[in-house]
Order: sequence, then C-alpha cells, then structure tokens
Amino acid sequence: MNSILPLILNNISYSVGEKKILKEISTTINSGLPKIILGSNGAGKTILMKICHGLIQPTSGSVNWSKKENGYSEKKHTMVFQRPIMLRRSVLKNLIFVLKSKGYSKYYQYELINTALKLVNMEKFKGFSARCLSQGEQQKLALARAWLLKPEVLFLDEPTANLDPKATESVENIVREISNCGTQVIMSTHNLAQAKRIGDEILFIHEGELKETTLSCDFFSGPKTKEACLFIEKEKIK
Amino acid sequence: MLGSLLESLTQYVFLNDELLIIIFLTLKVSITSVIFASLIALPVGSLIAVSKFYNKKIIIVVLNTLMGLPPVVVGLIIYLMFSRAGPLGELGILFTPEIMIIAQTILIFPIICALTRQIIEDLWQEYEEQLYSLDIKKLQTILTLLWEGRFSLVTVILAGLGRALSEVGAVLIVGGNIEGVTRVMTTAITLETSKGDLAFALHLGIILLLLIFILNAIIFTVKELTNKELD
Repeated sequence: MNSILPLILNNISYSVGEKKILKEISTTINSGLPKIILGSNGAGKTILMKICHGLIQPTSGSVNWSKKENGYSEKKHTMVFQRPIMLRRSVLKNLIFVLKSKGYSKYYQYELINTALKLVNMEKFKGFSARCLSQGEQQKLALARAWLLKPEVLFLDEPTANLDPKATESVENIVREISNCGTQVIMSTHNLAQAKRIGDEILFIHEGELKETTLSCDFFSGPKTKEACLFIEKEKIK
Repeated sequence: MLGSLLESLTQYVFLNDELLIIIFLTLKVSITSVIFASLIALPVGSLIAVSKFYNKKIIIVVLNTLMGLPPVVVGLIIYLMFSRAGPLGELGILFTPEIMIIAQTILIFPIICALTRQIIEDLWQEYEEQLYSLDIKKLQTILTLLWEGRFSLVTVILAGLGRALSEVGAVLIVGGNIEGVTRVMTTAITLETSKGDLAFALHLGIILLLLIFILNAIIFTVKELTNKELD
C-alpha cells in the first residue's frame, strides 16, 4: 500500500539550449527485478536517472511516483553516482551521518552500520578516512550508505564505470544482494555484459529516445529496433 | 640584537601595567568581535551560498564590496548613532569597549560572510546532488558544509581576526582612546607616534605583530593536528 512504485514517466523531454537530450520518454517502471537503462555514452541515461530522482526538472513532461494514502509521496529513493562524494571524515562517521539524519538511536546506528559494512565487506575500513579509499572502495561505501537509507528504489549511475574487473565483480555482487533484499534497482550502463549479468529488464536509450523496454533475455536474443541491433553489434566488436 | 630586543620587550610588557591593560583590552575586543561576527556571518554566508533567490548576484556584489568598508566611515556612522543626540544615544555606550566590539563586528562581518559564501558555494557545487540524494534537510546541509569546509573557514576567521587586531580608525572614533578604558594597541601606537615617543610606538608595533603571530601559530597547529587525523 505504501509503495512509491510504479514510477510513471509521462512524455519526459530535456533540452539544454537548442540541444534535445531526452525526447518524449514515456514508460512505467513497476517493482520487480533489476532494471537496466542501457545505451551508449551521451544517450541520456544519467539525465534520465537524475530526472527520475528529482535532481533536475524535465523541460517538459512529468515524473509521477505512486502516492501514499495521505497523498504525500515520501522520498524513498536514493542514488549512487558514478563518482560518489564522501564526506571529509572516517568511513564510520560517513555512515553515522546518514543514520543520524534519519534520527536513528546510537544503539541501532552501530548495529546497522556493522551489517552495512559486512554487506560490502569493509568491516576493517571503519576508521579509515573515506576520501583516502580507492575508487572501488568508495563505490562500495556509497552502496553501503545508500543501503542504510533502506530505499525502495535505488538508482545506480554507471557505478562500475571506472573500476577494474575485480572491483566491478565485487560491486555487482553487492548490487545483487541489495536487490535480493527487496530494493528495486535501476542501473545505467553501456556495458552489455554487465547488463546481461544484472538486468532482468532493459530500457534501451538511443540519442535521447527510449527505443525499447524488454526483458533482458528477449533483448539480447532478438532486439526489436535497428538501433539496438547496431548497439549490440558494436559492443560485441569492442 | 634579537636578545636585547626580546629583553627590552619583556621589560616593557611586564614592568608596564598600562601596556598589559592595553594588550588585554586589544585581545578582548578583537576576539569578542570575531566570535560575534563569525556567529552571524558563517550561517548567513552559507545560507546565501546554498539558496536560490531573486537578486542573489546583487547581494553577492554588495557583500564583496562591503569587504572594503572604510573603518573611519563605520566609526563615524556608529558615533553618530550612539552619540547623545543619536537614535541609540540613550544606551550610553559611546567610548566603552562594548561599542568598539560593535564597530569591529560590523567591519569583520562582511569579510567572514563573503569569504564563507565563496567557500561554501564551491563545496555546494560538489556536494549538492549527493546531499539531496541522501535526503539531507537544509539546516543539516548548512551544518555539514560548514564542517566540511572547516579548514578553509578557519583561515577566513583568521583574516577577520587580523582585520580586528590591526584596525584603528573605527575604534579610535567610537572608543576615544581613553587610557585604561578604551586604549588598544593600534590607538596607542597612533598616540605615541603623534607624541613623538617612537621607541614606545615601535615596541607596541612589535608586540602587536607577535600577538598576531602567536594566535595564527596556535590556530595553524590545531588545524594541522585535526587534518592529520583524517589522513
């Protein structure tokens, strides 16, 4: 009853000056298995996620989260960025910051933080300065921080774009764990293999247009649009 | 030469009660004004930095202009307001350390506020999306940004303190340079120079510089130690 899903995008367009970055995107995102926003660089994936998350306003169209009974749509969605920003304090204090803002008591704070650090396998990094961690570790910490918010929807903007294969695998495992815990994961990537590994539904974007929304298995076995066919071919050659 | 200078400075400081009173009053007036100015300017500067409002750019230009506020003008305006015939004359605080604190707070406020605004705005550009995404409310956002920018802001506060310690025009007008009551280092230097006691004036100048150096050194050490904890 209190779910913020489905998320309905109604004719979303976004322009910067004369340039149209998103062109009349309409779709409905229901709760279920992880969804992947797939497309090449500059296709508009990040902008679309930021619009869904409320970080930027669309030039036209509307984003509608399902409302609660009292008519108030609580922010139960969060986002992990390609380059997450860590506060200039320790790993532990970065996590405490989030829980404190949500009003958790100290007892629950430590319990939850231990679980979160265990989830991302970073228990021994508690006292480290968050800004001094490697990019992969910062990304894992960002996931732990997002998990602490217990979001219903988690947007992930190419979280493994700058990571090596080992760190990528580690991040993907955490994403799966979070998804298994009941959070709706919506992740953007241009990486076909990753989309196959994580996504169950693909939203393919090409030059700002949503070309198709299909199940992952159907998308990779027989894409409906020629843009998707070309994209798959090109990525395979790479 | 350095030894003899130190010896003569020590002699001046410890054998001269008047000088001790001047040093104490200088520190009291300057530090209190910096505290008051910081308490107002840090939140106001941060609020301007993170808010979007009509005419924000004009406010920023005005604030930056006020950094160069002429102390004598501030002194004169405050003098007129607090003199017997002025609108606040009934308070009877003209020629007291309190009015000197008010004058210096007004002078330091734009410096701390404008520099805070710049520092917090730069941080805000970096943190905005992340803090929004973590659903952090406005008040906590401001507190977080102030904490994140604490090392740069300490330098800003030091700049304010430097201005307060070296300021002479406003405190001379509103304080009156009364011996033992409102005489501070800078006004004392002005007086001794006009009297022709250049040696005493020079000693006062060196002591003033030393005071600023010691205060800066203490704050710098604290800053370094805290910084190290994060590395």
